[in-house]
Amino acid sequence: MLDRDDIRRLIPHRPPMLLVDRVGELVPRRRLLGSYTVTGPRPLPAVLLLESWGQAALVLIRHDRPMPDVLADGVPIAGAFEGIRFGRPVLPGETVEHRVELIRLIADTGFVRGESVVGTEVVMQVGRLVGAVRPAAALRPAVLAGVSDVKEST
Amino acid sequence: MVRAPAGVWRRYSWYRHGQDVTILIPPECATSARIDLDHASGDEIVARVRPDRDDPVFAGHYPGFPLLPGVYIVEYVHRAVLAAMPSAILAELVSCRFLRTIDLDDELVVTIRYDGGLHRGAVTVSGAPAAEVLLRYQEGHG
Repeated sequence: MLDRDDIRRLIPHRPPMLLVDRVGELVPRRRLLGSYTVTGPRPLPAVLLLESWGQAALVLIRHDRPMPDVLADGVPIAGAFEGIRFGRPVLPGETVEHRVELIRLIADTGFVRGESVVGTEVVMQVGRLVGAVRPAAALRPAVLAGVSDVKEST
Repeated sequence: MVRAPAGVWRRYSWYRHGQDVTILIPPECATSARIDLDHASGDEIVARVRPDRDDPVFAGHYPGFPLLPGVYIVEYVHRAVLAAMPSAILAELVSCRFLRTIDLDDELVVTIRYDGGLHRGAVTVSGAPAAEVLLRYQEGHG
């Protein structure tokens, strides 16, 4: 099991944009269960629910190659989202569990899918997320070097 | 040009454990960016977005290297839709492709067309494509 301090050693996100509190199960290169508890006074905006899920996915992809510092280790960036279906909002005080499955990893580009649940309710389905890591120096100014054009079959 | 409102409280209902549940949800504002509507008429919405350099999120995304989160781009398109359809409830991010990173000093132009039940958002910076965002909303909330 990983707690928030462990997660900070694996990915570069920091408060207020560190949106994963705990990883309960991690099967290397296959799947992960992570969670986040909404602490603010408002429901979690849909896009931040997706960001939280994406950070859990990054833990799965990089748990064996920690990247706590973007300047030294590279910058995680989103390339594409597909089929992200939202259910009811995640409310203050609720803990959302992220289920992440790695579809494929090609160099530094990962393809992942899964869902998020609160209790037994599915609050988000993720058809596919494509993410990559790029050197910080390559991102300013930046064209995303075709991240969203990478095909799983290549 | 008018500044887009931050949204309205909306009624959200779903079915849980054999019961209908209804709650009021506040305006969705993950970001503090300034969003100005150029126009919203017919099937087209055009908005201009200025990222907020002072948004606390940049302290954590990422330390020493502030970078606009990709999901913020999705939110900009979503909020431009909400400016025209205040009661809309986002059902699906059908697809999104990011084509370039965006500098915090950039002005984004969001052009949204409603077509075939979907809102197709094209995001540009200085005329260059930056992202394509396809959104679907729940019916009956527009």
